[in-house]
Amino acid sequence: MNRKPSYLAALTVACALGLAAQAPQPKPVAIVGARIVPVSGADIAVGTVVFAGGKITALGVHADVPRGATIIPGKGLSVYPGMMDDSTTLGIAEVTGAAPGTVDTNELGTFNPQLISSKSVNPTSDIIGTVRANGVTTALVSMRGGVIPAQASVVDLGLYTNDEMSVERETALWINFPSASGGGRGGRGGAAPAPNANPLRELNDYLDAARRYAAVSQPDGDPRPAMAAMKPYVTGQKPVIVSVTTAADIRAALRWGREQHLKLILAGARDAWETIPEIKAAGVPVLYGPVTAMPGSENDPYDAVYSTPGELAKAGIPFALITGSAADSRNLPYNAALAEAYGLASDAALRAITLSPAEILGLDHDLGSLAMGKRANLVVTTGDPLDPRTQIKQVYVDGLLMPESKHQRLYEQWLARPDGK
Amino acid sequence: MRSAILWRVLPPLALAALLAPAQCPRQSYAFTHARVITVSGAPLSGATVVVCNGMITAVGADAAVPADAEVVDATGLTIYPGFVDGFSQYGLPPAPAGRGAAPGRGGSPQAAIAAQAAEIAGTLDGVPVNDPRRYIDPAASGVDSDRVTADLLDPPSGLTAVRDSGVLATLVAPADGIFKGEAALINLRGPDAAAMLIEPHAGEVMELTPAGRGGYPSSVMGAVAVYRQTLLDAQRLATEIKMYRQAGQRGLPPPDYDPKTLPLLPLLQHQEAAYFVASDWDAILRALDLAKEFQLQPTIVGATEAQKAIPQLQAAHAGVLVSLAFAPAGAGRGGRGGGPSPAIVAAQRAEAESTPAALAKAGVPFGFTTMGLTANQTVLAQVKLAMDKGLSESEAWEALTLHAARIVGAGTQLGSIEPGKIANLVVATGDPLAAGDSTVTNKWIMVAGDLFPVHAAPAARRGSPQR
Amino acid sequence: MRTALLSLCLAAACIGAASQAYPSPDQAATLAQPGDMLIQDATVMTATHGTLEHTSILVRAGKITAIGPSLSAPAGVAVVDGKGKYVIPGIIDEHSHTAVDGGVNEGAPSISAMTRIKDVINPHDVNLYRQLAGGVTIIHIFHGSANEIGGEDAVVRLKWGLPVDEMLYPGAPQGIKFALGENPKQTANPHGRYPATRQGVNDAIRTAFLQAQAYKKQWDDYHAAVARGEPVYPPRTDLNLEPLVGILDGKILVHSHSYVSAEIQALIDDSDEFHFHIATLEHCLEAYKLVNEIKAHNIGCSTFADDWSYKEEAVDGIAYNAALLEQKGVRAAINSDDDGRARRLYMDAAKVIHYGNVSEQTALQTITLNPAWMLGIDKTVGSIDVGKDADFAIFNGDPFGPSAMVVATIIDGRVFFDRSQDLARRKKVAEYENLFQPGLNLSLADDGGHGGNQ
Repeated sequence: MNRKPSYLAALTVACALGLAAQAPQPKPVAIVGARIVPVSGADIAVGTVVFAGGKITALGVHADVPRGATIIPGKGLSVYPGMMDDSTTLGIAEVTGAAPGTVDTNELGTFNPQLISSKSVNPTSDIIGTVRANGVTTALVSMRGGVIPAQASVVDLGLYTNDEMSVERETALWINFPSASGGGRGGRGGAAPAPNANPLRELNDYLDAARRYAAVSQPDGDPRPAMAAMKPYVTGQKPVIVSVTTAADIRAALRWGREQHLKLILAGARDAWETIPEIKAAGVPVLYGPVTAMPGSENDPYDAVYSTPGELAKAGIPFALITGSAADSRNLPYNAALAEAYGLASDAALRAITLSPAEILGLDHDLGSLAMGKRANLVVTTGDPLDPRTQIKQVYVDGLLMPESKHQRLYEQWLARPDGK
Repeated sequence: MRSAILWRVLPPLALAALLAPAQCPRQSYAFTHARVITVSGAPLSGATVVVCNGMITAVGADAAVPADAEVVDATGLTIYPGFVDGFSQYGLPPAPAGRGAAPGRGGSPQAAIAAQAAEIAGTLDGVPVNDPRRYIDPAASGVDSDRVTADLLDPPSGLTAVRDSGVLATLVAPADGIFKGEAALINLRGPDAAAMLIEPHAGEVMELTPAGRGGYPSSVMGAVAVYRQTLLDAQRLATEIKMYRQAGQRGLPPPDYDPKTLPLLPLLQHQEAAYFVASDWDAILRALDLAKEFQLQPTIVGATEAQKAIPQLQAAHAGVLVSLAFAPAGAGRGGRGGGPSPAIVAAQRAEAESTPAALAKAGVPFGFTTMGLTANQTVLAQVKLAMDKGLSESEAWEALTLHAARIVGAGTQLGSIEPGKIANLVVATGDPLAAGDSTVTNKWIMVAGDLFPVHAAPAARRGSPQR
Repeated sequence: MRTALLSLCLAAACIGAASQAYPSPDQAATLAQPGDMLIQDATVMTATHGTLEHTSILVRAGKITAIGPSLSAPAGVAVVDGKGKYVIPGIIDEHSHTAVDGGVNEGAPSISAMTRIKDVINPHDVNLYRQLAGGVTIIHIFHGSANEIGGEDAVVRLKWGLPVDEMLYPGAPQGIKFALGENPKQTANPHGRYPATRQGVNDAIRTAFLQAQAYKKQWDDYHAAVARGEPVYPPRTDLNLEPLVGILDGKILVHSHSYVSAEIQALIDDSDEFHFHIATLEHCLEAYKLVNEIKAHNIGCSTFADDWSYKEEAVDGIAYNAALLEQKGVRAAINSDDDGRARRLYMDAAKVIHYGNVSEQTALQTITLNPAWMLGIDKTVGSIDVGKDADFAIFNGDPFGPSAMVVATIIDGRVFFDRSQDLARRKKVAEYENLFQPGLNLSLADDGGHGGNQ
């Protein structure tokens, strides 16, 4: 386990294969004497966690610390798995309001399944640094515009290169479900849909075309990347994440997913509290959030959104919490705290931002909890990360200790400014 | 000129009378053997209504029929006073697009092009873009206090449809603007403004709303500021006039007679009524507050949610003219809380329909206005919705006629069948508000002594081209 | 043990008019409350003198009359069981645009000081209730930021269900909104509106003050002439310049939307030139870069907990802004500027501990005492001290903890939000909605209250 990977060699291989490559961890690390909350197992009041080569290699009350390992004294601290936000625009939307040059979320056109959301993730995004500093180490990144904006990608919020950050580029197909009450969302710069347009029918036609394409074996280098991209999704191999908001649209999307035989995941789902039985019956997982969203109608209960995660848990519906944001992704733990305040159990709230988001995307073998062999994404804290008062002491992504964020850096710089007269 | 129009519209029966020698300066009529809903008193049966010189001269079972009168046998028919519409734009030409827009202040494409050219040149209306007059002291739009509705009257043929619905007189002013101008009280007949006018100085109609012409104000709070500044300016003019007169018109420059503020002096001096268009609860309260700020005696027009403001309306002794459209207050009332659910919207509509009954119960005087009425709503059907919510038959009659007449300042002229009042009459096959009777049709309409036959059932008529 | 808040407002639970959204106000029930109560055995976070365990608060006629470990209720005063609950001062949202009817900006002119928020408050905006349910008792409602000098503000207590006049905080000094930077300079207008640069923004403000000075002189000259017995007409009352004279006379507080340090510096220079005081900088994401100058001018900073990067002038905003300001001796407030965020300001205040590790009392002050100070009402509200308004947010537990939930909100000793009441009422609304059919003659009148919350 104590192999010494050659950074350059690893990178070369990764590039040659066109694969994503985890950043190399040069030296094993052991956090000793800390409280350990693995999420996938029982809490360890005082124990040790060891990671090397970017993976967790030992975990327990008495884990062996390999020779040469960096020892982190964990007394009084807690170790949690890095959090995962299954809906973000991290790295592809930096200064949203004023600098279009920093925003790569919305492509022209209605159907863009050939686009890979993470391809332009900027590893040196200042926003990523601030999100990571709060313990969010993994994100599903997805573009936004049109009906099919892109394929969403899972990235680790690491440091150096886009390739190294990539966990899985083609994780799920993102669909902005054409709302019964207002048509699909147009792509950037696109004209408003014609009055008689039927975006759902257009989407169905598109899926039909993709199925016809998938049914025939295609030559290598077929010049229709969009159709090729659709294959694992129309054949039900990979999940399709459908963004919905209202109860009517949730119901319509569930029906549609069944008709289309898709491996459906709901995202957003603000009004899920009105459709709990239907979601339960459909057996569809929910990426719920943000929990900070406003209720949809003025006569909805004031806490309708806050209390929905608790309702989903009560019904046994698999769900994870999402922010749907970039800058606000750092508030993922506080979204979970709001859910906890309004009815979600404390351990379930933590699970909803760690293991559950990994499970729903089928990546829990690699992500989402502290367990042997999983990626070494860890957060060292002074306590419960859902408590805003808790300080995050260290964050490891793929075994590497992350530097301070721009915010921390500027804080220290200006705190040091001499006082005035 | 008037006889020319009568020539065309009167049936042969009336024509004969027109040619006969007359004691009245104009045609006189006697409707005999009628059931008469006087509104001012108990209904009469087997009664005669005598009309002379455009006015009612006698009402009663024993009223003498003048020798020269054209007798209309109204046996089996019901006569009721014409409805008084508290606020409408009947008789006004449709507002042309961009009307009132100052050069370069939006509106027509030409104006926009001119504005663009001016902007490139760095000026607008000759004022450089960076001149403080442009960005600190903006010219307000929507102050149309110099507009006189009586001057704008242009009776179109579309009046027939309105008249046939029973609405025979109305307060009119243009719909746009914060100060909409001097209102007029009119009869709905032709051929010209002179024939229509009952009162050319019928009050100022105001609405605290963005002028909707681009420019300033663009918000409700801006509209309030414009209202306040305009009336302050008017107060100042009043002060100057007073000081100038006291000084014997010497030693001081003549007052600054501004055409926008001068017409508002009667309003400030309580010589003229103040109408505020306001439908939502908040808008009503705002209008009452702002009336009070300048000691105006307000009448609320629209008043959809007036029942929620009853204590304040009573405290202000405000008149109320309730829109028969009963339009729900709508989503969020400008708030950003998400709209109400469809059930709530429907309940709001139901509550709007109950506004007249609630006002009646509380003793708040009110009339009706057709403001906002949609093409598929009729006056009588809407009144019946209010009656379904508890408005009594007599209260409905009063709101449609006498109370509306009093609120628009014409209580002695309109709204009931009494000697001395203007002869605005509807002759129908029955009582249109009587429970269970939906077959009533109008046979004759009389506006200020002009008799018009009704050719189609009013129930089939839909709205008016003027709306 | 839940003697509960319920007993205090028995009738407040019912659906009033059928058209009301579910949190329908019941004015009569609210006004029937006497404003007396004894909150017993709670954890009290005072905002001025620490956190007191097992403490009671006595309220008479809307004011705090006693705070202590063992107070008993005078005859007729209702007791609220505070066991296990946390009581904090009512939360004050220093920057809000909630409940403004008909547009928050008068965007046509650059100087729109003639507008007044008080003219356009909608007391029935559901967001007022939602914020009340987040422990907020006072909001500072502003004109928008499209104008260099915007309209006059309103300090509003969330007395849900009462008329606007009852909501306005009595005696609160009048304030006004200024705005610098991107928003005023970029405000679109059909035919372009000066200014379009930060230099121009500064010029517009200076020009307005120069005009105000000239205007003030006109009136001074007039009064002097009248005193000499000369017959002169009064000058025109100019509603756009009157508030600026008020600023120059020190009667109107200046609250300025701002982002970058250079524009803040320029406004501070203006305030020196024209001798006016800036009460607060709003947002002021780069205030931390100008902390010495801000401190020297005794300016408060009302900022976000962690919002940043949404536009160019926000890229250097840091979540440590409030903590750094406090650590350097400048009073900071955490505001919402947002209907949604206003519902959980307690959580945003806790973030000041997260980002900068300030004390809990300092964090609490950012949403209570400090905003009260910025609004000039800290003598009467903003902390739990004897003599102050009985404005409280009561939590199920630690308000800064991960499961913090407001269970009741009290203003002037009256309960304006009670979660148990809300839960009971919403059940009724659900039934009502299911039953409802358009056209039905509804008579869902008050049925006389509800049972307890078992």
